[in-house]
Amino acid sequence: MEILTPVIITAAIGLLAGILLAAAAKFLAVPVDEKQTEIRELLPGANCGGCGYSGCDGYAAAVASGEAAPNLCSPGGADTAKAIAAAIGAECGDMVPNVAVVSCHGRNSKVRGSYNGAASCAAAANLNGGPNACRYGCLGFGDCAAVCDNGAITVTDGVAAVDPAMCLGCGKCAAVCPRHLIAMAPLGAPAVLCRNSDKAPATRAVCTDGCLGCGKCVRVCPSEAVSLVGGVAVIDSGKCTHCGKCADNCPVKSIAHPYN
Amino acid sequence: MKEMLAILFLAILTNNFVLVKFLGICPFLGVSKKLGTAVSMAAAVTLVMVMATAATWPIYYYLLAPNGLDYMQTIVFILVIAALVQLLEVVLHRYSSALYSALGIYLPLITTNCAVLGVTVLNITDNYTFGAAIVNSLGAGIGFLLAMVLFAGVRSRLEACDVPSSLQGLPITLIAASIVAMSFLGLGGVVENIFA
Repeated sequence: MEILTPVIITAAIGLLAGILLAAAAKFLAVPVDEKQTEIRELLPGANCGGCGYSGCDGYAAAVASGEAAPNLCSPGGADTAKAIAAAIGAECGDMVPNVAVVSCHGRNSKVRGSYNGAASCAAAANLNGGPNACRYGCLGFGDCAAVCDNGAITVTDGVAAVDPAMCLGCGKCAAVCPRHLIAMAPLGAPAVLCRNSDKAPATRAVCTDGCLGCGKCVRVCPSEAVSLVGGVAVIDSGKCTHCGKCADNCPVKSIAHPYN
Repeated sequence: MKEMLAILFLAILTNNFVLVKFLGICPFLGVSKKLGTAVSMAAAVTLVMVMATAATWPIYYYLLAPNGLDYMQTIVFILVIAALVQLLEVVLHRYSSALYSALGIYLPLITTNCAVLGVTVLNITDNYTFGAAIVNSLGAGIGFLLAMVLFAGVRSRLEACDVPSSLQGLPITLIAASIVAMSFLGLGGVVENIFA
């Protein structure tokens, strides 16, 4: 009979806790939007965060509450965007997948010294500005390739190269690059493949492909999408119509269609 | 008052739960990579430690001890703490969504955390009064926060180091943790003598 007391007391505590939790779950429940569940099921579930939300759940909640557009999911592509737009009864805009663009040609950049440290861009960038003569260029140790879940980045000729067919547009590589050279841009748009904001003679001294800040692209752009920021051309992807005049007119071929 | 301060600082420094008692090592190693997540985790642990003590101390002294069930404390405490954390999560989700999203994913992780169970059991073993037990668990939580913040700093420095490949990852993290733990042994006796 001695065993009865502990059994009864433990069972009573367990039962009490169970009832309390059940009551809490019933009376304090936070209603989940039905649309959110529906949208969540349409998403691929990669949880890559490329849309800018914490994951597929976060994005579904944002779409359901109307704060996010239905066409932000890069892995899902156009089909997912259409399905989500149909689910919430909204028009979906054109779906252009975002891909990572590495803003450095790299192949013609001069080398300042040899570096024998850890094979990591983060470590090399911390050592007196890195081994490259250009303080803005790709270091080529592949921190971005290491962080890519999809194997979309390889380091070729000392520069990170993205395979646009493999890229999900999640932006993990952009976050890890110590030189902030990688950005997500719509596929097919021209891009400035240089971040060197030094004056033209200094840029010219370290690399034949560097942006000189001449401003020709700014003048030829019909939609005022290009501007000079700190001596380097920057394209506003919201205004860019992908006409390619800037790329055709760039004297050093700093602007190009990266994946054509 | 002096006694309470002594208990608080003993729990933070001399008897630091992570670095001296070696409790709660999994969150210590798991989420100390970034300072932000480390602080969120430590805040969740502190909150749960205090609440768990507030719940388990009366259960022990008014329910278990009078019935001669001291030996049941571990299993009953686990049950109570797990239920309490789940309840806390539901209540936070309802009434404070900012706090819920800050602590959100860390709360379920500490339902079965040994540091939380440890502090409730040690409060009974050390014969603390209710007030002293609450202060002790608050100190244990702040000590956890201190250890997490210190170690997050150490780990961010480790990231940039050229670690030999045989020691990369967990081995070098454990070595770093042991050096930080050794430095905490140097605090032995300091608090006792300040409040003596």
